[in-house]
Amino acid sequence: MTTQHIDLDASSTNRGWTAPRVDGVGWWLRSYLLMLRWELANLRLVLPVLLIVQIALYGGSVIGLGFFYDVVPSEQALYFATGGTLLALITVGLTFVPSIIAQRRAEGSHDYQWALPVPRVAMLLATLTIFVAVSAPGATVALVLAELR
Amino acid sequence: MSRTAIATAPLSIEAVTKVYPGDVRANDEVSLEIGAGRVFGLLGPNGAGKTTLVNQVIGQLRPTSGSIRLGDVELSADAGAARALCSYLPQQSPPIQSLRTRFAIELVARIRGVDRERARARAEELLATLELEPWADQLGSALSGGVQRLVGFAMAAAAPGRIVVLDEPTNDVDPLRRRLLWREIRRLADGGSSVLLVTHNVLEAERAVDELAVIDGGRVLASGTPSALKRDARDSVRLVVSLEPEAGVPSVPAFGDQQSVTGRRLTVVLREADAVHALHWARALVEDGVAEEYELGATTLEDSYARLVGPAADADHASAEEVPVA
Repeated sequence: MTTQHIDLDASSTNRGWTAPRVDGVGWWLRSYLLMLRWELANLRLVLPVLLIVQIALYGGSVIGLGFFYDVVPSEQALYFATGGTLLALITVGLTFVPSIIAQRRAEGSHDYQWALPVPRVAMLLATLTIFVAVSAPGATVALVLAELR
Repeated sequence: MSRTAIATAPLSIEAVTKVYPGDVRANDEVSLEIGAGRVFGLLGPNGAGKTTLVNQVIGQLRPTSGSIRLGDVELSADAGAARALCSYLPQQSPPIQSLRTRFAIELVARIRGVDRERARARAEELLATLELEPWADQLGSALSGGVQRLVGFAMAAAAPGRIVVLDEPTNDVDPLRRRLLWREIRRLADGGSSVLLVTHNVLEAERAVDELAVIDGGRVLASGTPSALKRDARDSVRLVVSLEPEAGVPSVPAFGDQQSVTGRRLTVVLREADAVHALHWARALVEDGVAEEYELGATTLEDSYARLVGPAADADHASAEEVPVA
């Protein structure tokens, strides 16, 4: 479904009604950045738990996989290090992201954000960007641990 | 479509029907028109279909049949246009648990296209007019329900759409701040928005809205100005009797067209011609120690609402807090 072109802008007075232009790359990028700020602020409440759990998961995966073997050849160790990190990334992605989205749906916050004049892909990308960024410390810890081992 | 054309076009809801899976008919041929600069109240009991209608206006749901238009723009077929033209306060509190009040208001204004400086100025203005400054830098999770509601309203009003949809904006808000809220709602309409207001509070609606519709079972039972809706009760009066704490509810003589009991308040709607009989009856109740006092007055919108929707809804709404509207 395409949005009709409406010749509107947000340049009315403070008290007058406004309507953003909902087309163009500028609108898309601006929406993405603003939703990114919103997502970043949302992290405030869950970030400590998220960091602890994912570091434990990433580190545990990399170290734990090594226990399957008595001696790990260096080439296999490289695979374990990267594979373990990937497995942990998938686990975090499949547990935290759906649970947070389900929680948002139950609270109605998902519906609230979807009623805003923001491209939905930009909104989803903002969420995704934040979760990928949050995964970075865990992945780094996992690779450092693998190197040390 | 140009801004000028949209500025004066009414919001037209034409024969909107919404049927959910399982043949649940939430809206049934609903038709309403809300002019620019008007505050329109949508009244009805729980499950009447109000929120379903609102969700279709803001582009979250598509009608099964019928249309919702603003001038040439068919909102019901273009969710993107609906989101650009509507700002919205949902029934549940908005997601501000991890946002600071000032930031939340500014952020929504910016999302709705306003530049940083004007968004900041508007946030400051709303913080001042709604007396929210003490909570300006607090996280949403630390706010009371009433303050969260006001912040949600400020987010909807930060860069108001041509249509502003407010779903029960006064819930949990204290009486003094309700006055401020109603004043701001009127300012939104004065700025050219059409304000669609869902409320349970009939007494407030009577004084705050320009027009209203009573909806039940998905259908519009009546619509018009508050005075027009009270027209059929113009030859009636209401007698309110405050009962003694230990007394039972006395039986009402035949003159009572309609009666309800809320706590210790017995309300009887009767024809004006029977007023003298009713006063004698009420005085006898006081003399017999059944009632503490009584009061005879004009009928209210609540009486008309109860007549339209029925006694169950009357009991549900009769306890609505009486709050003066600025």
